Amino acid sequence: MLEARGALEAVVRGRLSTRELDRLATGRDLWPLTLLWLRQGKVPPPPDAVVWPGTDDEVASVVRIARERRLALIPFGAGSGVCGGTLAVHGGVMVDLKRFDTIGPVDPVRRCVDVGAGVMGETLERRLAARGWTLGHFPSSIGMSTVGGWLAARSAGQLSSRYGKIEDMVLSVRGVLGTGERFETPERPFDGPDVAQVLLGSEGTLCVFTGARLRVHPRPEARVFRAFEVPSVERGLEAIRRVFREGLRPAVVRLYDPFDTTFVGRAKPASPRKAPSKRSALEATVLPGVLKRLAIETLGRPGLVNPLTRLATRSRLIFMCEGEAKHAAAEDRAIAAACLSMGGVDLGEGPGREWYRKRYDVNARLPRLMEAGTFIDTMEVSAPWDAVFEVYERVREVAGAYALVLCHFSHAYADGCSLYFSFVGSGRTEAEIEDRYQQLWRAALGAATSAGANVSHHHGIGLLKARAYQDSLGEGRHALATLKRLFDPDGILNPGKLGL
Amino acid sequence: MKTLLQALGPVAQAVGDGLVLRPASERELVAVLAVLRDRQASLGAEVMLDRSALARLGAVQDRAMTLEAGAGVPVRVVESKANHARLTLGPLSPMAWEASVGELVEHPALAFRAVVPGRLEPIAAGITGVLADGHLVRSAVGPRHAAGPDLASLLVGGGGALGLVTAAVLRLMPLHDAEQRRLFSFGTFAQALEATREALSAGVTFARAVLRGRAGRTVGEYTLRGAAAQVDRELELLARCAEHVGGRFEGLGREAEVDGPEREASWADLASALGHGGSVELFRPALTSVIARGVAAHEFIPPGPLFKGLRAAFDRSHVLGRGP
Ligand SMILES: Cc1cc2nc3c(=O)[nH]c(=O)nc-3n(C[C@H](O)[C@H](O)[C@H](O)COP(=O)(O)OP(=O)(O)OC[C@H]3O[C@@H](n4cnc5c(N)ncnc54)[C@H](O)[C@@H]3O)c2cc1C
Repeated sequence: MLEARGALEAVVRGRLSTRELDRLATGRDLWPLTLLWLRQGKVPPPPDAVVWPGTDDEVASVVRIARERRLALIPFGAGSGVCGGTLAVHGGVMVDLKRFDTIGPVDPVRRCVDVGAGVMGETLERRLAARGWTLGHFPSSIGMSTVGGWLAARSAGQLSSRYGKIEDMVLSVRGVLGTGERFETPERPFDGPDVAQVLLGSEGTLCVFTGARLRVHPRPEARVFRAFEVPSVERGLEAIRRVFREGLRPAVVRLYDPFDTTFVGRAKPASPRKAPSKRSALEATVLPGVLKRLAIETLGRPGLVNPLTRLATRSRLIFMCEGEAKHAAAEDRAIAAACLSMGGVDLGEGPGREWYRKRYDVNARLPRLMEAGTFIDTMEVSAPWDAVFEVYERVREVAGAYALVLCHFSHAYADGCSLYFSFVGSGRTEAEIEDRYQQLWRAALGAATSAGANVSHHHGIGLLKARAYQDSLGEGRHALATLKRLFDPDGILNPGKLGL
Repeated sequence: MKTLLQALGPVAQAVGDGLVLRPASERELVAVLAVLRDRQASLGAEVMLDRSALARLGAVQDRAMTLEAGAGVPVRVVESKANHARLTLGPLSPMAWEASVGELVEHPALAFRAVVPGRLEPIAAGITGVLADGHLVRSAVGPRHAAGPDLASLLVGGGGALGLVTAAVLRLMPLHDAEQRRLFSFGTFAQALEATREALSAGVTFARAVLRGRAGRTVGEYTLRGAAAQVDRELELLARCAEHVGGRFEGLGREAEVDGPEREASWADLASALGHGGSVELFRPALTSVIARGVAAHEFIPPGPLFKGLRAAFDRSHVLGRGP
């Protein structure tokens, strides 16, 4: 790396750093396993340097230098990935795309906008909203993820049941291949395969995205919320299936299993935040210890706690329709009819509004729980309607041996939906916790895929699911390997990810 | 030809001066491609591939609304089976109804259907196919291809340039009898197009539409199909979208048609056709593109370097002899 430093520094006009702080800041993402390591004082392998190119030509030059010197390059968005996608397992250079931060004017006739890969999600939505438009892409991590990261991991937003996943919003993508060639995919109509779909989801292993042309829609005139209590998960799933079969397209659909239902959409009076300095000694010193003890006693024994969660049966189902006001209201009425026919009890708009108000809160809550000596992770897969309930039951059964298991169902389609499991576990020692975490993932993902689910719905593969992903491809592995040879012949782009 | 015929075995049949190859399974197709590669022969007018023996038709999966069919099954046969279960492949363009499953799923435009709000999704929820290099691709059947590069997209909509589909799990939708038409007139063709885009973006899913000039105005006749309640909801929405851009309700319309070949077209292509005083008929209308009659053929756009690279990687010996 040291020999390449001068050449790299020249092409990125000095925007290169080997400072420890920069290397540590980009050398990991939010993969919970790395959070466990940090708690133990272990640091994931950092890159040798970070560069901040600002043009496609600069990225192309960086790639060419890396090819000559056989240096690994890891594209970096904002590091909000949860699968270890930005870990520098082979060292190398982190390519931070944040300087690709332009948002072009909205073309109102073609309803699209050109966006740089480094634009943060929240900035993009805010800018579009100010001009009367929306992308319709609202991942929970919108405040800490970039457009490039979305493209690279096939991200899904909370309103995907209407607007689709990010790959449905793409008109074309541009960037640089591992060969150093710049590319821009064609827009429809074109002959031959849709090359953009071959590159999307490649998690930095085939190309570096520098920008995209994305579809936008007028901002919705109205939002209509409605929640139901349904007698069981099966009934709730059947209600969603019927809603989609009838051609209704609510923007939000979320069915919480009975245990998850106890955590969702409950309005709590907002307590005034105290400045950290005013925290009482009890809160600051005694409470963490008590929490830790509690975590080990409860979450460390999931075999005892999980059966208790089966005592509850009623589930909460939330819908939100948006768009033209009268149409949204008409869709809402039709949804209500479908849900009532499945034995649902109408809870009105309150729980839905409450969920909407708190829809990004998960970001803040996560680290606190981790501090208390637990591990927390989420697994999101999707399955056809025939398999959804089976996947739910099987994963709960096997994962229940290692962690507390909660699940909600969202991102619905006419032919199936996504299942989003949350796992919370603990153990007596850090080593035991990590061991349990690894076993949990192997068991849970194995159970999900053998019951008919895919490997991931929107978090991507990274290192975490690389083995399962490769297994799921079967003979398709050859096609992936051919793509890798074609687009990244020296294997310099994000080595180790996707099992490549 | 003779030696090729011998090498191919019973899968091949001499017809006139050429050969017709009729594989009945993926395995046979893989073997056929291997022989062609070995002998540096390619598919084309002389060595024709007939996929009609890939004729397996699975059972309708009612809950997921899908049906698996071999590449050689005619689309109309799939539709008939779906109809027995009160399901349908949906409003397809006339060309799509004449295709086989393989042709449908490989076609760059027909392989996709329009869904709310004006976006496209593959008609196939999963595919099995053989790449030109002889490797199989089998995509998992599910509501989404979700993680990693979409390997199925090498074949789906790929025009048969990189590989051939042998079977597909097709997405169906409920079969409903309700069909209604509405006619609106607009001051300009640009307004008519804007109203159509606005309706798509707002959530209208019309089966077809005809836009044409009449007495100095542009009229749009929209046909909606689906469940009665859904059609009613979307008709109201369509009316509000049309009025929003200055459209005037003109009645229920009568089934108009436009002659000419079907093509995938952009909205600029539609504007150009209407601007030259023509009429256009839209099937599979989406914001991304439409399938239309009445639009001029595209200028030939040479395949981009990415595509050329893919072709070189997967079909180095040009065994498929196809593609743009
Ligand atoms: C609390 C929380 C909530 C989340 N909620 C959601 C959610 O609702 N929906 C969802 O989809 N995801 C969610 N995620 C996951 C994460 O936000 C997404 O995976 C997101 O797409 C990552 O974007 P990023 O810019 O942070 O990418 P990074 O984490 O920096 O990178 C992710 C992967 O993409 C590659 N990459 C990044 N930029 C580029 C580029 N320009 N070109 C090529 N490759 C690139 C990286 O090398 C890496 O492999 C959540 C994460 C957290 C922590």
